[in-house]
Formats: sequence, structure tokens, C-alpha cells
Amino acid sequence: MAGLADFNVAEKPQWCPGCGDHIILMGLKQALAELDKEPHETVVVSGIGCGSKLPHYIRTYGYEGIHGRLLPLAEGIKLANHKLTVVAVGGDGDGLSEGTNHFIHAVRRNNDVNYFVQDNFIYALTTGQVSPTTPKGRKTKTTLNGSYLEPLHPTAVALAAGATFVAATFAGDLMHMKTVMKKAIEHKGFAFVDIYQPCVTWNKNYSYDWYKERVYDLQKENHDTSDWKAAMDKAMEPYRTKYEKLPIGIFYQTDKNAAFYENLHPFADGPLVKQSFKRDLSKDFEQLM
Amino acid sequence: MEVVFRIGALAGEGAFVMGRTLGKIFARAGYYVNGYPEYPSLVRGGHNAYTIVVSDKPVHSPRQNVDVLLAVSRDALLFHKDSLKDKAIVFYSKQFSTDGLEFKPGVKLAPLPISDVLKEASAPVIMKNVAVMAAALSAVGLPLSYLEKVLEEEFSRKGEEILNLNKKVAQLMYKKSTEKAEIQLKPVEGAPKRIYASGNEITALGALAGGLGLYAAYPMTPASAVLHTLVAKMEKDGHNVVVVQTEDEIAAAQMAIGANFAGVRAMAGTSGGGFALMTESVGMAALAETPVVFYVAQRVGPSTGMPTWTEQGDLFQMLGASQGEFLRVILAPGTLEQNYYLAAGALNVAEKWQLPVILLSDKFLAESHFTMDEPKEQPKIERGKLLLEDQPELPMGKRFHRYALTEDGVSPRIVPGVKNGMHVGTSYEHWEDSFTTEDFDMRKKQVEKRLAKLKGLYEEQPKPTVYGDGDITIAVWGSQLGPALDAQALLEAEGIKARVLHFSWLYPLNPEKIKAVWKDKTIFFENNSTGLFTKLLFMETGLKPEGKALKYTGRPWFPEEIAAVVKDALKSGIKAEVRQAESFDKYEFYTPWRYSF
Repeated sequence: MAGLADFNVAEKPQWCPGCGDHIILMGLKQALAELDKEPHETVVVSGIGCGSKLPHYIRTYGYEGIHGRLLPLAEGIKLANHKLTVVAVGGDGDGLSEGTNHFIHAVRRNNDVNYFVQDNFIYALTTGQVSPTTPKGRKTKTTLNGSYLEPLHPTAVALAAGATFVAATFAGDLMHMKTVMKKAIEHKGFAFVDIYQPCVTWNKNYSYDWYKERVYDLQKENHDTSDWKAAMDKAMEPYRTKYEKLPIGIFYQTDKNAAFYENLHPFADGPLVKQSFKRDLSKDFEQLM
Repeated sequence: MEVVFRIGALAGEGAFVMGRTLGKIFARAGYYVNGYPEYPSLVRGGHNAYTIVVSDKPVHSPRQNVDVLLAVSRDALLFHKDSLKDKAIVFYSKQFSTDGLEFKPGVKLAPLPISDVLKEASAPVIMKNVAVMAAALSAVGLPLSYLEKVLEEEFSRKGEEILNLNKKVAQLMYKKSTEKAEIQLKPVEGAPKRIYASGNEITALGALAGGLGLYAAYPMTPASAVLHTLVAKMEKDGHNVVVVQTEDEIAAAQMAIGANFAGVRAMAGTSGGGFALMTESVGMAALAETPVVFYVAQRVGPSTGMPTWTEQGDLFQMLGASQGEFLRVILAPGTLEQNYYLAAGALNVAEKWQLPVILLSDKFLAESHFTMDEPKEQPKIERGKLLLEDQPELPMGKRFHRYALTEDGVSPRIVPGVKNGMHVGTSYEHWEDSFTTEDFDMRKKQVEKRLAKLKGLYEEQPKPTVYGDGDITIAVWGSQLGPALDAQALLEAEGIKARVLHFSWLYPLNPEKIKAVWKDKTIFFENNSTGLFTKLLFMETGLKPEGKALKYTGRPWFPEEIAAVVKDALKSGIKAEVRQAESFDKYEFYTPWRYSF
């Protein structure tokens, strides 16, 4: 059985000191180890961005693809072998700007992929441009007088698209993040987790302390995770309260929708990759005669 | 012996169903058949046509002039009357007026009492197409039982009553229609059973034979029928292939790459516009060395262009897709057999050489129907350096050397689920163990490793195929093989010997293999306006044909046109460049109402 050390790589992560990505990496390793996942049966998939370097810093299988396209890539891997644990990690620019189309449709497909968004309200690797989740009024390299657009509400978008697991967590609270990640991985179907993560270089206004003063755990508040309307209400709370209150924890979870692989018969015979593709096509040709 | 039919109808009136049905019937009667659909980009309102060539010798392309016109709509009389052969028969509803239409003197007009037959059988108007098909069979003396059998196959699930009504309409019209064609098509004794199918359908079956596990696509003409066929193979015929209609072409490409990374053969399908969206993924697969096959059926571009017509205009798009320099393989089938074996072969090449492969077709080959014998050989499945067994334990913190430097450029590949193969498929330049690098020496080595595959690909590449012999060579690539072969037969009938040279492996090109079959006096026929392949050939081999002949009207080359260019070249020398104008049925199918008569 694999332990935490089995997920370690020799290389040191190349992230800014204090970056939330270090804690997200630790949380993911701990979550996988505690769930007894094997490194060779786990695939961590990413796009491009600071946080998207994560697959290189965890010793599982991985794929670092192109900006915004990590979800269909992760889904393809899952479809080839649906017994694998597939985790997609990417930033708010990657997944909520370039990849929004895939995000919404991956939610609809309900493939059993776990999508963890490293949401730091900013483009970091490209040095500080406005992102879809940048709060209104925030000055960035591309909004010199402050962002004038309404931010995208990731958890609300996921809920509206019909997600079967929607959660948020905070990179400054390792225990909470790990717990939420474990619940997401255990969920059958697409699991979306929005991770509040400070960017210590490009978004200094939103520090660990700023978040700590505002986050609160839904699971300590008697929140009913089967109540979609209540979940939507909580998903909108940050915007309603001008970021005074940031709920974290599980917003919504349901097992009523089939996971993608439950809809199509080929998966009933086990992972595709293990199946034989030697086919007798004589009947197929007969149809054309 | 050859009979050419053309069905003309309003869009939505069923020209293709009728065409396909008649094609199948003639194939069952033992003939070689080509069926060629033409239609505008709309669902109702335009004009549709389907040309069927029936012959006792192999046919590979449509003809301009017809022996039997089946005018389902009145505008079909106007649109196709000038492409009638001297003694052609024109079937149409007797309710259509021919006022203001001039037909050639020998043409036989055969108004059909369709409304009377429907009335007598108490059948709805929708069954008029059955009446027209019965008249077609009657004209060439083919027993009605062929049509009745098809009706049984199509309609028995709809109940006895509907089936019998259809049969009655067919029987009545078969008797009442008396006009006979000069050439009669008696069933051919002892002919083998043949497949009658489109390039798209056979591509789907070829991919299945080649071990396809996943197909991802966004609908786009003219590639959609591969998606439809494979969905039917999954949902109706029980094959273990997973088909996903994605939100866009980018997702389709990524999903196919993901599945390949995890060890399942996967393909993404589209046309040029959709492939433009897949472009970035092509480079990703190249750098990460993940095998993947893209099926691209070209249509008329740029941009939306003429979406339902044909052209070979996307070759350089395939060649240049994605930033950076990398090897890719481009294959272009020319016949149904090649669709079958190249679809399977593309999956092999992708996995053996761990790179993107593009299977390039076009509307003409993808949507036309052809007869084909059932493939005798099962395509081989070659997976190259793929490791599916658990590997020895890795030192703590270390990864599998997925990008190990090798002489042939191919590194052992391993897939998730296999023990001790942990590594990252990566779009960044990398060390042998897949960790990102900006080390100059390693960069140089990895570039050279990937380029080293060229040597193996040069060996893998087959020689271009030569058909027949003669002083002059008709050179073509991809789908234009059919018209070239039929032009060769036309010329042969006039005592002119021409050689056909066909390229189905388009890139990379091994100069030695091409020089071995290259001859002087070559005219390269391309279905585009700038001679794309001729340029590529010169770039890669320094070879240059004496002449290039270009057609870019939206239609394929017709054999009559190729033969005329060759005859002209033999008479007055090969012209450096011929630009072919469209030579028949020059009506715009998109707006038939403009041509009221």
C-alpha cells in the first residue's frame, strides 16, 4: 500500500515562497495517500499556468497539456480506463476563461473526474492580468483603474450547469482542503472544488489573513448539501456580501445523476484499455450489401 | 457497358435515399456502382441530385452525361436536361409541364402517371419515390423483386399495411412504365456480393478493424457520417467503441489524445474549419509524443466557403497545423479499400511512431458511394513500443524514462495503471524522465530524437501506386484517384494509353521512393487552385510535373475532363497549367427558384 512518501518527487516545486500551490500539492498528496490510492493508478492532469506545473511535483501519472483544455484531456484518460483516479488541476484563467466551455460541458457529462481550481483571482504566470474571478474594482495590469466587469461565480456556474458535487475550500486551511478533496475523489461523477488561494506576488491584497477573516465552514453551519437552492444561495454569498463572507465546504452533492461511463454499454465490460478490440465485422459489412 | 442515372429533386424530397437504394439494388444485381450526391447547404428549398453509374466493369467516379433522368421535381428537368445523352430517357410526373424546355431531338420523354398510381393504390404522396424507383428498374429490365426486397427490409418494421402499400405502388408503376433504355441491366450471373457504401462509412469500419476504442467529434459536414456510423456501431450493433459528441472540436481532439495516452486507440474527426480549432492539440500530441489520429474530410474553403462541395484545399493546413517544427504523417485514401486499410493503418502509424497522423479525405470521397468487395484481410494491429506489463520498482522520487533517447527516435511508452511507469505526458520540453527542462543540450537532443523518426517513416512509406502504363502520366493524390482511373478507361477505349500515378501517403515524402516511379510527361491533376501537392512534391523531392491541371469549382474532376486534358496534351503538348471550368449542369442548386420556367 502506498504511503505519502510514494507521491514525492526528487525535484523541488518552482513556485513563489508562500504560494498556495505548495499547500494544494500537500493537500492532494495527503488526500490520495489517505484514500489508499496507488500512484500508478492516479493521473493528475493540468493545462498551463503556475499551478498547472503541479503534475510534475507529484509522483503519479500525469499530463500537462495546453491552456484551458485540461478537462476533455482528463476525460479522455478516464474514458480509456475508468478505474483510474483522475484529478484535473488548473487556475482560474485556465479553466474559467479559456476553458469555460469545457468546464460547463464536463459538468454536464458528469465524467468521474475531480476538478480542483486553484483560484487566486489573477493571471500569475503571465504576470498579473485581470482574471474572470478578479473582484470588481481590483487594479491589475490590464485594468489600471480597477476591474469593471462582474466576476464569474465558479460554484454558481457549476451548480447552474447541473454539477453533482460542488465545493469550495481555502489553501490556507490544509485540513479543510484535504477533507474536501477526499470527499470529491470519493464522489462518483464530476466533482468541482473551487480553492481560494492567495497569490503572494501578483495579488498581495488578498493575503492569507484576508481570507482567514472571511472564510467559514458550511459544514459547521447546518448547511443542507442536498438542497440545491440553499447551495446556490451560498455560492452567491461572496458577491452579495462584497467578499465579506466566503463560505467553504461542500455546497451541494447528489448521487441522482449517472456518471458518464454508466450511460454507455462498452464500460460495463470493464476499463476500455483492458478490452479486446479484435472485431468480427462480417455483420457490419452484411448491412452494407 | 454502362448506364448512368441521375435523380433530381427538391431538398428534402429524398433524392439521396432513392439514390442509395437504387445503387444498392444495382450492386446486388452484380454490377459495379458509383453514387455521387450533390446538394446545397440547407435542409429544405434547394435542389438535390444523385448520379448513379452502373457498369459491368469497375467504376470509381460519376459521369457528366446521363442515360436515365429521374426528375422527382420539375426543376430537375431544367437543371439536368443539357447533360442528357443523345437517346436518354426522362422520367417525370405527367403533372409537370415541359413548356419552354427544349430537349435534344433523340431524348425520350416519359411522363409517369404517378398520381394515378397513387390513387389506384390509395397510397399517400410520400410513396411517389417508390413509383419513380419502380420506373427506373422497369426501364433497364431489372426484376421488380430487387426493389420489393429492399422495401421489405426498410418497411417491415413499420407494419404489413405500409409495406404492402409500398409494394403495390411499385408493382403498378413497374407495369405502367413502358419506356425502355437501350442497355438492359439483367442480373449478373455468379457475381459476388458487394458492399455499397460511402468513404465515411468504410473509414468508420476501417478504424474499428484497426482497434479503435474511442471516437470524439463535433458534427461537421462532410465528416459527420463517421460520427453517425460509429454511434450506430456502439448503440445498435453492440461494438465496444465509445463515441462522444463533444462541445467543440478542441474537446474532441483533447479527449482523443487523453484516451490514447491511457492506452486506448482514439480518433477525432472533423472538416477543415473544425481542424483549425484542433490545431493547438496537434502540436501538444507531437511534443508529448502521444499517438493520435485526426480524420479530416475537406470541403470548399476558406472559412465557411461552400460547405457541401468538394476541394483538396486544406493540405497546407494539415502540413502547418500548430506552432513549432515537428513530424506528422498525412495520409489520403483514394478508394473505399484505401479508406478501410488506411484508417486502420493510420492508427498503427500513430502508435508505432508516437506522433499525430492525419487521415485526409474530402466531400467527394467521404460522401460518395462505391462498390467494394468485402475485405479479405483483417488489418494488422501494430502498437510499437508499448509497455503494458508492470515495470521494476523505481527509486524513490524518480519517474519512468518515457522520453528516453533512442536511435530510432521512439521511446518505450507506458500507460496509467501499469506499475512503476509514472511520468508526465507534457507539452513542455522535457528531460528523458518527462520533467520540464530549458536545458539547451537536452532540448537539442529531444528535438533530434523526435526528428529521428523520419528515417523509419521513410521506410514505412509505400511507393506511390502506378496503375497501367503509357507515355503520359495522370498524377493525382487522395480522392481524385477515382476520376483518374475512369479517365484512363475512357482513353483506353479510344486507343490511348495513359498511366495513373497515385499518392495516398502525402507526408513525409521519401524522394527515393517517388523517383522510382516518376516519369517525364506527367500532368498533376489537383482539386484546388494553387497545386498544393505539386508544391509539396517539389519542396520534398525537387520533382516537378510538366503540367498541372487545377479544378476548384466545388466539384471533383470528372473523368471526361481529365481525358480531354490528356488528349489535348497529346495533340498539342502538355500545358504548364490548365484551369478547368465546370462543364455541365451549371445551375446553382442553392437557389433553384431563380431559374423558374
